[in-house]
Amino acid sequence: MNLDLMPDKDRTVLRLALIGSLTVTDRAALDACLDKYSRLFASLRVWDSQSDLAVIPADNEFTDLGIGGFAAAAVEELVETARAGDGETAGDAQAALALLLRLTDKGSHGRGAA
Amino acid sequence: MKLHRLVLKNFRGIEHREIEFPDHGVIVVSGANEIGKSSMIEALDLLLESKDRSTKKEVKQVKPTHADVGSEVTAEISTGPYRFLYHKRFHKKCETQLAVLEPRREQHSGDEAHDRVQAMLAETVDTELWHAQRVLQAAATAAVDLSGCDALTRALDVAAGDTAALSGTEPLLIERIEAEYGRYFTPTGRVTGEWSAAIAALRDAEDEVQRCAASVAEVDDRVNRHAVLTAELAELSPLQQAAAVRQAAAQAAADKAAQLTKQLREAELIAAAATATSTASKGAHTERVRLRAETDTRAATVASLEAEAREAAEAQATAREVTAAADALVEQGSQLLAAAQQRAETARRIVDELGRRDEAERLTSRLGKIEAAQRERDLLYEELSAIVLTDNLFRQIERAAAAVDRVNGQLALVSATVEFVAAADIELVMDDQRVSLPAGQSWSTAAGGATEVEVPGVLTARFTPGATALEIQAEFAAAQQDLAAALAAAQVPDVATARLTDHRRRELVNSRDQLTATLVALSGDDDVEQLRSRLAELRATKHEGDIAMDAAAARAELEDADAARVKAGADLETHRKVTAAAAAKLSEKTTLATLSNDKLADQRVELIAVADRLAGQRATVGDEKLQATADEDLKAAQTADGRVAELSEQLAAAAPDAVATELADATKAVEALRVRHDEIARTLHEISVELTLFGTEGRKGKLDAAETTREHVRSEHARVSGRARAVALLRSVMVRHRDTTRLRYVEPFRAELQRLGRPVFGASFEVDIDTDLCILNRTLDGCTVPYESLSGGAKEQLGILARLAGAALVAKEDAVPILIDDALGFTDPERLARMAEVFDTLGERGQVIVLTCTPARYDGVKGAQRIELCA
Repeated sequence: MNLDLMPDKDRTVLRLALIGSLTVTDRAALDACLDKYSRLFASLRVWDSQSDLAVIPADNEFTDLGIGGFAAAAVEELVETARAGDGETAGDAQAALALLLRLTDKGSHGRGAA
Repeated sequence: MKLHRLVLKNFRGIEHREIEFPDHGVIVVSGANEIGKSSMIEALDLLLESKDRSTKKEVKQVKPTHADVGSEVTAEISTGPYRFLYHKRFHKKCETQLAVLEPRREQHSGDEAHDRVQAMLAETVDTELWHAQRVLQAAATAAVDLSGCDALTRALDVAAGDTAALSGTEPLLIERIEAEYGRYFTPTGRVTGEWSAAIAALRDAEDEVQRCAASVAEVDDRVNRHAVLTAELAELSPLQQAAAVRQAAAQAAADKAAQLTKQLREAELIAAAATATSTASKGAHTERVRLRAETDTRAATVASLEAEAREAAEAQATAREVTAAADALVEQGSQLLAAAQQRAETARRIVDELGRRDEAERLTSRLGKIEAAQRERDLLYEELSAIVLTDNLFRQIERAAAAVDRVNGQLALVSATVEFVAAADIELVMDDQRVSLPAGQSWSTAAGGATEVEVPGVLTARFTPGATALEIQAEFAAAQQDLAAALAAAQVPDVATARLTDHRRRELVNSRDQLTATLVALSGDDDVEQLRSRLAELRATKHEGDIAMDAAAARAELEDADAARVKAGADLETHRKVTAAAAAKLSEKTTLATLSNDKLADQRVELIAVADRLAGQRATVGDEKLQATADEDLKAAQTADGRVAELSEQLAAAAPDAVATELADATKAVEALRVRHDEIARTLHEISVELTLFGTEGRKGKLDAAETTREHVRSEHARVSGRARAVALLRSVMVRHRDTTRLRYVEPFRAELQRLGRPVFGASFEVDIDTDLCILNRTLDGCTVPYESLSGGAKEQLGILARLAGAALVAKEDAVPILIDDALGFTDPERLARMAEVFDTLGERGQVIVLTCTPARYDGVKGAQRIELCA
């Protein structure tokens, strides 16, 4: 469904149940998307108890960031932590990677994709 | 980058200066102070970094003072593939011109030229390194910061053997991460900005929810309380009814008890009256009995007192007799004493008389002796007065006699001696003296004067002496005359008599003296006349009468008499004491008798009074009637008491205390219930009012709103929290990796620095470098000293060495000129020489421009090219 087509956004409450796995890039895009729509709708929230989103960094997701040396090593460590499973540490690592993508201007490409 | 030429015009104090720099090697530019060495560096910086129209302070302050013209700077620089000539004029007629010579010729002016130069430099020069590789006068000892130099970092990366080469965007990335981090945290890691705002908002929202919940809970509490109180009020009604019933019962019982109490009080009053009457009549009866008894007692007392008084009178009489007897005894004793005294007196008189007689006799004999001595003395005086001869006269006589003898002797000597020897018996007459001279006899005479010897009848012979003999004769006659005069004066016939008389006189004087002494001894100290008058007195007072006893007997008599007198005195004293005692006894008895009499009189009076009273009372009421009245009254009192006891019993049975307590309890209970009821009713009313008020406030609605807000804030908080944690994690991992990598960079830098430093400091020279490529400490001969604690000289040398090491490490195409402005001022000559060697080894790699006012410092740099500036 296309959220843009929904009428009366300021009087609509959305509660999303999201299930599936996606890359860090996708996750960053999803977050940006949710961020954008949460401002349009009266309420837009992810229904935590009904959602199960797994973020798994893709293999070549961070290889073309244009950084090398110690930065590349740091990214590698973060990717490994993010893949290690769920839990708070992994979640933070995924968020950190998403932030990295944003800061290296790579994440912005996926923005807007719902 | 290389600097080939620098031209300054009207720059500060410099009118015009142009310097050409060799391509490589150490270039020592020397000149006096204030010649403008440091200004060259300043000019280069202004040229490369400031626009020609800049009004910055750095630009303004280089304006020349000697002329009102603009400062001009021109430089020829090669960097990377480029080589260009760059000119700027500041302050006045601002102008920028760029002529690129290689690889292609270009010409630019104005901002375009400036931008082009900036672009070329950014492309080919590590500006951080360019600024880092300077040693300026002001900051010669400050630690060099090479950590931001990309060229050096790259060089170190290569040296560290890191294969994953940096793309060059890492610092930008780090910067962005830091910026992002700054949104949530302070540089020291404390929460700030959005993150802190989110936390605060959440806390506020939660506080608000709690507050609203509390006010809703308050309403609930009031409602509950209202229900409870209503129920309680309902329960109170039956309780109040029961309490009223109980109080009525108690009131009835109390009334009954009160009635009984009243009756009892009346009965008690009656009984008290009866008892009083009984007591009174009984008292009267008792009084009567007592009066009778008292009358009897007093009569008996009077009788006994009378007996007593009699006895006392008798005792008084006896005492009086005793006193009289004692007085008689005293009288007798007094007479005895007088007799004894008289006898003693007599005895004493006799003794005295005897003494006086004795003394008179003694005095008589003594006076007799004295008179005999005086008589004898008078005789002596008489005899003495008969003798005219005195000592003087006697001596005169003696002297005259002696003179006669002497002159007679002389006369004999000068006189002729006429000797007649008779041949026949003849008679001679010489001077009327007849001398018969037998035959054969001789007779001689001295013919002193004119002598005439006549033999009668025969012859007359005259002998006439010479003149001398005549004189002597005359003298002799004078002497004899003197003698005769003296004898006459002494009334003695001749010298011998005179001598006898004198002797006699002396004896008489001696006797007289003796007698006088005897008289003195006899009369002693007393005058004779006194003695005589004393004797006369004694004889005058002489006691007539004969005394038939001697002195010893008289004395014994006196002693006896004295003893008798003393005894009589003692006896008299004893008798007097007895008399006094008897008198005291008498007075005592007398007092006693008086007292007894008084007492007796009193008692009699009282007896009469009591008897009168009794008689009076009997006259009013007879004894028997009194008795009967008393009995009646007693009976009436007993009856009244019985009534009282009966009523008391009834009252006790009614238990008035218990009834009163019960009534009080019941009343209290009713009161308590009423108070409670009122209180609950009031509270209920208050709660109702409160609830009405609460109803207008919409508390539940507020709570709902607060909870909604809290939900929003909570999700926002979660989002921000996620972001903050993400950036914190990203930063920490990134920084950790960068530091790890830098630690690896540090090693080649350290090796290079030590390589360069060993010739200067010695073979044992070591340094520790941190990840920012700062020198932490220096170790020399095993002794480690922190950088801050090093001497100024060592700091300066290490600073230069660090820059040189950086320069040595960077790739050749990245090399920039090293600018050293008047450094090594703190360095000793020996170390200066070793530093020079280091400079030499570096000169081959690029330009080392040294500005100095003492070029001798760099004499040790062999390959140096020297340029001297002059004004």
